[in-house]
Amino acid sequence: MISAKQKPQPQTDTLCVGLFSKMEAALKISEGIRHLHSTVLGLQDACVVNTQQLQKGVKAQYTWEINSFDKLDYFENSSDRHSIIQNIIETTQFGKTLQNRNRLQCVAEELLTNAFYHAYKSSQGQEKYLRQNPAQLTQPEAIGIGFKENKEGLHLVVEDHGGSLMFANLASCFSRCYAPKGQRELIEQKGSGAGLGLFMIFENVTHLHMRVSPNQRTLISCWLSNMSSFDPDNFSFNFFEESSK
Amino acid sequence: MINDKLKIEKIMVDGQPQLKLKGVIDEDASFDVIKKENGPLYLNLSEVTGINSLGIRNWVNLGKELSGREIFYIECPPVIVRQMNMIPSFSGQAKVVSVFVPYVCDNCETEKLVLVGQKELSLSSPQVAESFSCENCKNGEMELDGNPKQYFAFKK
Repeated sequence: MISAKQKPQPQTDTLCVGLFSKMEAALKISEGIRHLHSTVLGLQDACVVNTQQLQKGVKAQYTWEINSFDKLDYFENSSDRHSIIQNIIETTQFGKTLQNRNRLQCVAEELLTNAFYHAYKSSQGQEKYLRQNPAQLTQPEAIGIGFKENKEGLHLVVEDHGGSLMFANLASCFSRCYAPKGQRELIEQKGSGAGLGLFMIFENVTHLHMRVSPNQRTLISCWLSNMSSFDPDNFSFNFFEESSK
Repeated sequence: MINDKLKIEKIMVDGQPQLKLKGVIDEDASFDVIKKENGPLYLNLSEVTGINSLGIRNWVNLGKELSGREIFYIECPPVIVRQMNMIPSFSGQAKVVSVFVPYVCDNCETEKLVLVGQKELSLSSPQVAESFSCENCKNGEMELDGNPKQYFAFKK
């Protein structure tokens, strides 16, 4: 079990490969592991090979990343997220079945609200946009979104130009959200930023790839498997922090 | 998530007063109607269309405010069942009376929600049909959309 007081260890690029439950994976992430693959194929898994290439600085995309990161549509008003999500549902086969649709709504809602409301900070370091009101971003802040599907599932990409996602915060979020029952209640009382949204994303996706250039850009790329091809033992988490250029 | 503001209305079902929730449970959802009610709370969730992380938080906190009250969740749609499975405190002390189980036809992709009630839910492992004939196309099989064990994980 994870203690809510447990603090993540210093950054490590260790690649963790094995068979895990999401809870076991969250424990490792909360301990500082930034790359984790749950797979029966071990080091032969194509995604694991991709991670190793990316760790070496080779420009690569995961096999499931079928939507180009350059093909994103940009939005400036947080209220647009409802129509964005509805558009994905209506224009994909993925969105036609209820369970797929529910997971997509959940993941897309949390990714977009995180981007609109938590990506950008004021000069005092606080949230620039508050969730109580619709956020009207200015042009450089526009949130990018892209998606593409095949018969196995749907690839979803969300990008912001805040670059404020910190691994330490994410690890802390997992530590809270996967804590023993009594301690988990703490997140239910916490205000904005409790991390429940990240927990919901992690629970509902098969692959989660985060790429952060601090203070510049955050790109979150995730794969939602069709329920028909969903394998609970096969998932991955990767967090890359790119140095500022 | 569709921008579908939460509404709560009082209905009577077989002589039983229920509060029917319609729409999305999010940061803007108001639960005043629920809080003002006296006695046992029969919450019909069949028309809840979505819930986000702040909605979950508010729902859990509502449950704490209502601590000590008898609360029943009726006709829970898959979006609610998913939260009950992911977050143990989501249902709190409430008793789950009935849930909708999603089925989809492998031929024509018609969807159908089948209501599972107290009789089935009283079992530690609810027995539900994994498939049945599709009434729409007559050729396909309606299959349970997902894993039954995972769908009823909230029962543990």
